[in-house]
Amino acid sequence: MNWSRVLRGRWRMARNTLLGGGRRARAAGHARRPLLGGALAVVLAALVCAGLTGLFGQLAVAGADAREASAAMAFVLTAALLGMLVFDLNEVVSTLIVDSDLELLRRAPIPAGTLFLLKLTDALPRTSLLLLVLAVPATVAYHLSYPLPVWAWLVFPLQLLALWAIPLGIGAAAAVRLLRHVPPRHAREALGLLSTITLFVIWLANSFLLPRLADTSHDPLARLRGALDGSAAAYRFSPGRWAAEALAAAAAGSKRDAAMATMVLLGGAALALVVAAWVASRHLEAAQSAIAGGGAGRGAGARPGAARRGARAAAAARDGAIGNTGDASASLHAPRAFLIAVLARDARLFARDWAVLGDVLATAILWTLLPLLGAPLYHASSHELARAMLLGLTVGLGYEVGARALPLERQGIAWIRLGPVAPARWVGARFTGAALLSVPLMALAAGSMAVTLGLNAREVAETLCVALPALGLALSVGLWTGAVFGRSGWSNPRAMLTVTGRAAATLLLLLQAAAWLALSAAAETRRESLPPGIALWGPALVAALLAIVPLRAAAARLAEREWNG
Amino acid sequence: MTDPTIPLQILDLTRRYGDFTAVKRLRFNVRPGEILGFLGPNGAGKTTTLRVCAGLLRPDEGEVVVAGASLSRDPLRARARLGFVPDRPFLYERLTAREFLEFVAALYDVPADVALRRAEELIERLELAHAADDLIETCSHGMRQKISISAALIHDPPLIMLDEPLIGLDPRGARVLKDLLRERAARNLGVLVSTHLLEVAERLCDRVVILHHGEKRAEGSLAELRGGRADATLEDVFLELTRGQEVEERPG
Repeated sequence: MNWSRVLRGRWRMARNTLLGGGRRARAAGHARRPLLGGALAVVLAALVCAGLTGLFGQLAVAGADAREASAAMAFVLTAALLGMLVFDLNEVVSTLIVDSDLELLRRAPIPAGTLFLLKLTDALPRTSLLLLVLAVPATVAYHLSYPLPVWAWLVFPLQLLALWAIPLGIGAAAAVRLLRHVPPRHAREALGLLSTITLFVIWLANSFLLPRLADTSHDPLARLRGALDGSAAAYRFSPGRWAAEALAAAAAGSKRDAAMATMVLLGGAALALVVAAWVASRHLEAAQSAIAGGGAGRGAGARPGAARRGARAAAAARDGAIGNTGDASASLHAPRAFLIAVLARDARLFARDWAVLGDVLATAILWTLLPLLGAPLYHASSHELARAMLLGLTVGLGYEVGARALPLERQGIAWIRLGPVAPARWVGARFTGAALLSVPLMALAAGSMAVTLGLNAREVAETLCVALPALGLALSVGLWTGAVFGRSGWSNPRAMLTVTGRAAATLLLLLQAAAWLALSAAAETRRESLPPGIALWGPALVAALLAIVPLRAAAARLAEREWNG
Repeated sequence: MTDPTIPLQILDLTRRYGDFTAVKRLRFNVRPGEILGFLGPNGAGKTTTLRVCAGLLRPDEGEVVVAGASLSRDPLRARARLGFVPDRPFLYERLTAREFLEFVAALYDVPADVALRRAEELIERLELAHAADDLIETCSHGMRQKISISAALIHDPPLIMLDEPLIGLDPRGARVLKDLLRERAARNLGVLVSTHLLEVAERLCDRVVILHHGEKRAEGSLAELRGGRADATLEDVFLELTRGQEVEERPG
């Protein structure tokens, strides 16, 4: 194999993917996305950098040395690695197993291990966002309080590469091995389930860590020590910890220690890649073949009851010959029939994509419980806690349900432009569908909280008066996010939006949660001076006015979106 | 200009991709009761033209009128009057063929009982019955193509456009499709078929339009295109019209 020419080809492919190469893509406006994505990544990185600069500044003032402060660095870098496992592993596995050029590559005389490394390199640009928006700004923030020498910055890209290779190399190897045992038809669901389970485990692990950070003591160093004491064992073998130790040693001027920690990190990465390449050489081809031939098992996907419906339809066809109904095609749309058809289709798509449904349900629980983790930070009443929890669920559902509604259609989304239905009506139908899935989840959560937190009817009503309008707005924003950033070719339920879209959705989610909490708190403190009953109708009014903007923008996006296959 | 009896009017259509013009001032009609073949070498602009006519892409200049409804001024009415079979079908993988047809019929507001009968007839005609209750994701390429054809016909539109419809179909399926298209033409409806299978075009189409580098090179019946040479085949005419200009591959 001519490595230099192969790598040049891969570079061109990566460049075209990132910069919207090709006339059609540029003409369709795809070239603007990387700029938007880049801008959002910079904003996120700046936020992370600003936040961590404050933290490291506080630690420095409190007397923490570079090594002690590196514990916080280790936490951030480990979070980036875990994030990669949740959001990016699936992308890597998809690149390895179902990428469009695999058929060509598999025919070429390339050993499976080499093919694995080639495809892993392909996945690098698409899976390195978390390092860029977490690891890099964290290191810059660390440098501002604990200056790093120039040589440490020169080694830093290698450390980043190792931080990327370890989780994704080992993760990909494990996934490839696992896929040998999964029926091909369910490979996509298995990968999705993997992401959901990883997210769940990480969330649970964090739920032990965060309350420790919420120590009532005002000493940041004590809080950090408290948080890390409970998780020291887990961090000892974390690549994030090794990278942080290398940085701390560099900041302390100890070249030897820095080199040792870096060697451990690079050794870990090399080991991960060797293990992954070995697993790939044994199992990748079989996994690829299984997936490639997975669609041919006709009959395996027959729906229960569908045959009965078919028999009824056949009988109906026998009863009356088909006749041309004149200009039936020219009649425009009956809204109700369309709405019912979309809802029925959504219900089928959701119920049959159990990886997506499972992910929605799992994350709904996690979003609801999220405010509990911060509970030790503030002394909130049951009512306030319930409101925070329902708002957590609300904005979470905007992302989990609203933003996924359009990408869930995959290639079928082209019917938005083919069918004689106005985009606004499509958006309205999707909003209704998203609400029909979300409101029962919200009601279930509210009921559970009322029982467990001992809320009275008035408190439940007041809470719902904020949470339900917030849900409407969150779903509207989510639909817009899905319309703009949805990926019809997704395989990971946690990555149904583009990387840029996920960054945008996260920012919007945080913004909404903060805005609703601030609005509720302000209304609470000025209750006396506000018009009576505003707590009941005010949030609905605000949400309705604000929701018009994203809903209209989503419809406009669908109307202007071109579909070139 | 917008005659509702004419299934398709393409009026000076131009479509660009950045600085590249894929279709240049294209102008032709699909007449009622005819099967019009849309021919051209790879990259000639056939798929782009069909996608613009289907509403998937916007034209940069010119107009498309479907059975009297302008695609730019009255897009919903125009879309309601056409059926489109793309080269790569737009299907919902997790629906069955029957559920998919039911959904598409609802999009076009076909009454439920009519939709049911039409779906069943199409399923029978296209020999989809044994797979109609399986998820589409389990269907072969040919079966998917048949489902896509059924979806384009479920609302019985005045115009149907098909982009390389015979690719993936077995001989029997191809025959059934050709019969279906001929039946539609016999009912005075319009059919536009993009293909590079010249033998198929020669036998199936009443007239052809030959496109090359985004421009119309010829339009007419085979007799007209022969220009008095009784022994010339469509292949001869096609190769003559597109000779020596296939160096550059273009999208389209």
